[in-house]
Amino acid sequence: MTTKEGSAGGKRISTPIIIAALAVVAVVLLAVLFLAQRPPTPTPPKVAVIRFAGWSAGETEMKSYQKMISLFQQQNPDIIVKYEVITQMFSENILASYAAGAAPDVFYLDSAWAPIFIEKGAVYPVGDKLPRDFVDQFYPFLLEPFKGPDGKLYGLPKDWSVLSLFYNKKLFAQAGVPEPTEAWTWEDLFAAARTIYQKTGKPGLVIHAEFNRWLPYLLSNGAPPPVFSSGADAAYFDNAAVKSSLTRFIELFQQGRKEGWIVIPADVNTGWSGEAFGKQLAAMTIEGSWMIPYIVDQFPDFKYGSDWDLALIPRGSAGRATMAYTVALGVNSKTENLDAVLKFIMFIQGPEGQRELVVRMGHTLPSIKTLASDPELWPSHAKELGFVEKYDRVQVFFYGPKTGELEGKFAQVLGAAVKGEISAQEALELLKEKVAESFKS
Amino acid sequence: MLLGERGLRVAYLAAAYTLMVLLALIYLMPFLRSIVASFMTWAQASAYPPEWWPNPFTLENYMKLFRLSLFPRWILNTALVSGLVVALNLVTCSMAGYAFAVLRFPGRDLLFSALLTLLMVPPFVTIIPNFILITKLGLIDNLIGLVFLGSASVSGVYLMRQYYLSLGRELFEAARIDGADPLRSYLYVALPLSKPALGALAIYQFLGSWNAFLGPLVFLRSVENFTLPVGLNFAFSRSLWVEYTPIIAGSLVASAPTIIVYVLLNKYMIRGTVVAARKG
Amino acid sequence: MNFFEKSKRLEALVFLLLTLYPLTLNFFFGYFSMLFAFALSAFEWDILTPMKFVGLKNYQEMLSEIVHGVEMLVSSPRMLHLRAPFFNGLKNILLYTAMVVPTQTLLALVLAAVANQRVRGAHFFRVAYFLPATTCPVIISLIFIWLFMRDGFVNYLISPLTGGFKPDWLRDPNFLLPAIALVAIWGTSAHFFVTFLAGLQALPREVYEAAKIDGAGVLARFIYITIPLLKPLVTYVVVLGTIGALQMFDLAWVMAGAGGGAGGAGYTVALDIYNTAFVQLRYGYAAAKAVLLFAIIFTLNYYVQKKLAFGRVT
Repeated sequence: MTTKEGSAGGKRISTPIIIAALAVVAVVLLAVLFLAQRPPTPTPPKVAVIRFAGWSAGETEMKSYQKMISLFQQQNPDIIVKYEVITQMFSENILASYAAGAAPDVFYLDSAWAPIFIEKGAVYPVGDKLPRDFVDQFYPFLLEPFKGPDGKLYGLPKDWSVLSLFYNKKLFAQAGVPEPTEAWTWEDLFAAARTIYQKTGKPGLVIHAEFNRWLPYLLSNGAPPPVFSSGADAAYFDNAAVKSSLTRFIELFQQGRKEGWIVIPADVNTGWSGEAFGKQLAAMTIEGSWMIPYIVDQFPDFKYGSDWDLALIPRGSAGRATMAYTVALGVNSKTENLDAVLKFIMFIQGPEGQRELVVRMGHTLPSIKTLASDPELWPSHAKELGFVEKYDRVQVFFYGPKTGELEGKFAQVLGAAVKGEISAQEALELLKEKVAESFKS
Repeated sequence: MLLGERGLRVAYLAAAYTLMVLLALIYLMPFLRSIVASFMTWAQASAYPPEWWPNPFTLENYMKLFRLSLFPRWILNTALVSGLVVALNLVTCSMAGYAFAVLRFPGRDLLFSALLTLLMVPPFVTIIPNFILITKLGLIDNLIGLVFLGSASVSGVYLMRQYYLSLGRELFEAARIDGADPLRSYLYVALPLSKPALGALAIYQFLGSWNAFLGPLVFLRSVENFTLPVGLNFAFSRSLWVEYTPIIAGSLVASAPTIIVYVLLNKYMIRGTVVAARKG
Repeated sequence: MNFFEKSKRLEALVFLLLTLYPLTLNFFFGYFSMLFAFALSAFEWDILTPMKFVGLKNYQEMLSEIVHGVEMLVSSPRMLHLRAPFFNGLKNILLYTAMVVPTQTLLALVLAAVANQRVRGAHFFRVAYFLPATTCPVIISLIFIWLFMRDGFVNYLISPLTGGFKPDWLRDPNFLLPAIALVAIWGTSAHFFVTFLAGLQALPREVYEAAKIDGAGVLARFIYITIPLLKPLVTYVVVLGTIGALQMFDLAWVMAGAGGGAGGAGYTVALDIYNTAFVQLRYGYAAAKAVLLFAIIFTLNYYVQKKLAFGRVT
């Protein structure tokens, strides 16, 4: 192909150069365009805008929140609430926004992460500003993770979940085993699981190899509640009751897994115990309230009351214990609209807000005591709430400032132990090491 | 002899076809599986031993998708972002790729290596600095911001550069000797020959933009602004479990545009012959 | 000579014009973050409180973890992933890259060559081979988890070849990493197949004609003409492939979980960096690990580019 013309770079401006100049102009225009794309400055100075960030629980929950938010805005015309959803990596995102100085005003604060935020002064002690009688509405044990070392309250639980024993009535009937009662001990549970396996071929118990799921067993057999706030606290695993109950449980699990009557969810090719239970691949599981809406949604033919039911977690030698999981609404300590935020919190977390967002939605339990008898509560949730006073200890999922990190590390160790990759002794050693490790820096 | 030749051709065709079909099966198999799964309930889709035929056959997964009030909006957002990204990249990458491959400039190769090095940085550690930067620039929660960030992809520049290099320097040398100025050379020599590479570039940028998850996840906040992958994730993953079958259905729907774009561009890319001005 | 200088200046000007936008955009966003992140490796930062300068302490700690890892590898390998996760991640990702990159490049080449044939229906195959690249990795991992189950499809296919041996891909530490590698190869070979397809279009006919006349067979033509002419694109595929493989995160996350799955066989350096930064909240230490990963990627790529000496076509 020959070139189009001969003269090189002469006096006249060749067309390509013009085109190039136009291109540069276009680019500049684009830049200007985007800069002009910034959201218009919206609010007149009197109106406070607060940003509220949560993670996703699907469209229905988002719509409920939006309904409540517009209700709130109607009642408080000088406040605008901007609702933001962060679908994954929630805490990382919030952390990143703190680093950028653009953290939301109010956001979900998980009990596992709360201590870090509190310790670093990132959240505001709302307990100081909220009326006494408002705070008293909540279950006292749920407030624990959100209290700082200075005793101040940094957030109120917006809802919570509790562990219960779920059992499949049909499998029990098939195996001829009587259903769990209030008198059940852990031995009764294991015996029932064994029998069910022998009679039906399905494992009697499916449970995650996670420290938080095993804590009811440890606590009810005399172990003290775990608190890890420094490397020295690794000594928790030297405690006699802890050692004996943990060793017992691991060895039982290892043995039972070989025999087939106790499994982890992966053993029956499921992602979590809720799925295993819903598919009726195991007769019992110890899981949280979140399982109830899951079953309703994914396994609609598997009905509460007729096909499955809830029971108290069995008793150990030292009483009965269960775990509570909760999330609070944390307030950015540098927020500029404290009053607006407080009003918002009291609305969303008060009885009116919880009735719509928690009771009706049915994903979690209301954290306000009086709502336990609300007629709109799902019957299964009502039953769970009724159990609460029967426990000697309701342990909140909170072990100190490194809860999230430790839980992950413990799960690795316990998972290896349960699969027989390491012995119970080695597991205990490793657990201690992990605690020491995470406080090293 | 004719018969032998015919026989050889038949054998060759048979071998070629077998190979093609075998490969196609391997590559298509997971797709077939996900199409089938999208018509099953999760209970059945995850059943073990695995089942092949949807029973009951359910359209529920797709219904769940279309019941999402924001689903059309998300598609629109994603289409807008992807379209703009492709258009911008076609221009910027071919220009820069040409420049790096052909034009002479002091420190050119060093500059290029510096650019390439940017690709090698592990992603997670740069999230926070990027986030800070984007926030300070006011680009958070802004779809045009996303477009802007992706408007001159480094891997796109790299692709175009390598393509021009493979055309051979002699081609452009010839043009230079003939006295054509560089810009002319770009417009009249390089561009016409770049169709296959531009096609590939368009496909890659469209794909990357359409399926992008991490970027939109970090930089978008309002649900109305979400792109499709983030939106699907929002709708179907709860904090403790994920509704897989609607996501499978959703991702099939989401792949459809990419496949269409690819099919269209494919015809554009595969040209019969390429005229190459090689002198020996 | 006056003409020459003028044209050189013109060339330089045009170069700047054409590259200014991509360079400024990427350098600004890229280098700011990169330098910030690397500078961070000399600090201890938990994001919520001000940073603390610690100098080379992070690197010291990282080095000792690697040494510890080597010790563990020799003394008690089965506890390696529990005691020295970073080293485990390093080991895994290097193995993984060695498995993935050569295979995927070769496959992509083969696919492109096969699909480029002028036979009827080639168009269908071109679409079929590209399909794996159109879905996001998360869904792909989910589907493959199902395919890799002990009595799943993959084993069903290979059991006649292995005499009935059915590996439990996802729960056997020896097979988990290969399983992830297979998924990656499936996806990336499809992705890069398009590159080679485009490259094949640009090959000049005359050279092939000449070779055919000279008597070269199909395979010889492929090896001695096609591949050398495609070298720049091969470099592209290998470089991007290596970078992608060394940074792999999402496949491992879904298929092996945050802890790396059975025996920690699926634990990668990227996973470790994520854990260090966001679970342990040690951003500075994570940055140091990222620097190491970057150094590895950079060196490997430098070596690759040297070896493949892009550009010149004789």
